[in-house]
Amino acid sequence: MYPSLTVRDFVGYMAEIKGVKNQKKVMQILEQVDMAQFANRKISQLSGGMKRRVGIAQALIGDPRILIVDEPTAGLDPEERVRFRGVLSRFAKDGKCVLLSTHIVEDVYQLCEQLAVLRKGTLFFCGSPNDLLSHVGGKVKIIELENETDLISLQKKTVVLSTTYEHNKIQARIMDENNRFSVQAVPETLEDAYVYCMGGKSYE
Amino acid sequence: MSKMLSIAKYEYKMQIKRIAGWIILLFVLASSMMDCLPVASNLARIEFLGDIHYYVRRVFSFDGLILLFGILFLTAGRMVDDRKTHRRDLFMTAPIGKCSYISGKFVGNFLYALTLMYALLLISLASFILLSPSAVPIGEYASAIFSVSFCIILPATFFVVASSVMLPELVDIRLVYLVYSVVFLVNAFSTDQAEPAPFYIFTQGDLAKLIWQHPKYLEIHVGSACLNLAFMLGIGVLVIILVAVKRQFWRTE
Repeated sequence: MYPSLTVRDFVGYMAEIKGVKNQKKVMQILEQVDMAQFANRKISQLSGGMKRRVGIAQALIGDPRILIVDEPTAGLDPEERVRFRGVLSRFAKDGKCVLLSTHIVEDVYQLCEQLAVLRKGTLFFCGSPNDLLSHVGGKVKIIELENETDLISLQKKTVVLSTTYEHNKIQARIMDENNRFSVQAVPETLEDAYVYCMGGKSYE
Repeated sequence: MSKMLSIAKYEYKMQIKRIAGWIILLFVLASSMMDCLPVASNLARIEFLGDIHYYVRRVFSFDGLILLFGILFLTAGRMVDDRKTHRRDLFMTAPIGKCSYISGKFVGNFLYALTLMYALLLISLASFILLSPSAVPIGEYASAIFSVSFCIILPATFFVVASSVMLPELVDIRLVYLVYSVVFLVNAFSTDQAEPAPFYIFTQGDLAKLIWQHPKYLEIHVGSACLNLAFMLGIGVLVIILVAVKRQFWRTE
């Protein structure tokens, strides 16, 4: 983006080179991405989230049927991330397709009807978020450990999804595939399923 | 064509808002007024300052050269920066042709440079009108504007803008700055000579003698003037063509 241009000028510029003559369309698009009130602000004075919304605005100006976004919410604060999700949802509600590439599992859970997991360059899983969740359903458990030695031995027995350290103890979130631990299962999250995917277990 | 004009329009809009350009112009105006205005102190130093043709030539021989040097830095990298900051990817999605993009960038920057050059000319002429010791016919002003435009402003601005916008696309921008700094320095230290000097580029040499000729050196070397003009236009056209035929323009990898 050109930092010296205002938001309106920049989107207007992109509109002109995309052959959109109607400058009213520029303000409509800015309203769509919640940037109409900042139309006269210079790009250099925008926050990271605002710049990304301007980026989406310039992408929407040609009325595309498919929108491809790469890590759109990385580095954004929670409020800006929620707003950005709203922008993408609004675009998708008209039956248009958004291809979202992200490592932020929460975004996928909130936005996506279909997801694909790539592992080492190959398609590892393709389906709905609920399909992915169903593979780890009832198998995620939390085990309390005394020390690091216990954690190392646990890692040899099962997939450890995450660990937290509390009151000199270690809480390990594990994937108990063979029901070897007699502990109550906890509600599974998409992040559990994603980490499990990356852990090398196949669902086939 | 409309896409090219859009790029030129926004390029001009961005450049004209840059405060640095106006600061350079202000500095150049102050310098030219101190050196060239036909006031008593300057006329005691240089007897020809009351002649409008000598006046415009003197303004553009030195102060115009400084302005062109500033324009070189203001317009250099306008295209290569788009690639470095991935802005060119946006143009690829438009989509837009290479020639429209290149010509749009060039036209926008050329018009911007001309705006500064003609601002210098017009303000200098206005100052001359106010302070000139004798009345000068309007025809003389028109003739001076015409000759300084065709002998210095248009060819030199074309040479500088084409080089500064296009060359960094072909060679490292630091090398461009270095080479052109040497070229400007050589030109700044060149003085009027009786001998033909085809490569006294920009604002000296026989092309500039077409505006005003020193009474001592009556001969004009036409071949030298033509070579001077061909050098400036030729280099400008050559760099534009080199960029236009460059392969892997949109993608460097």
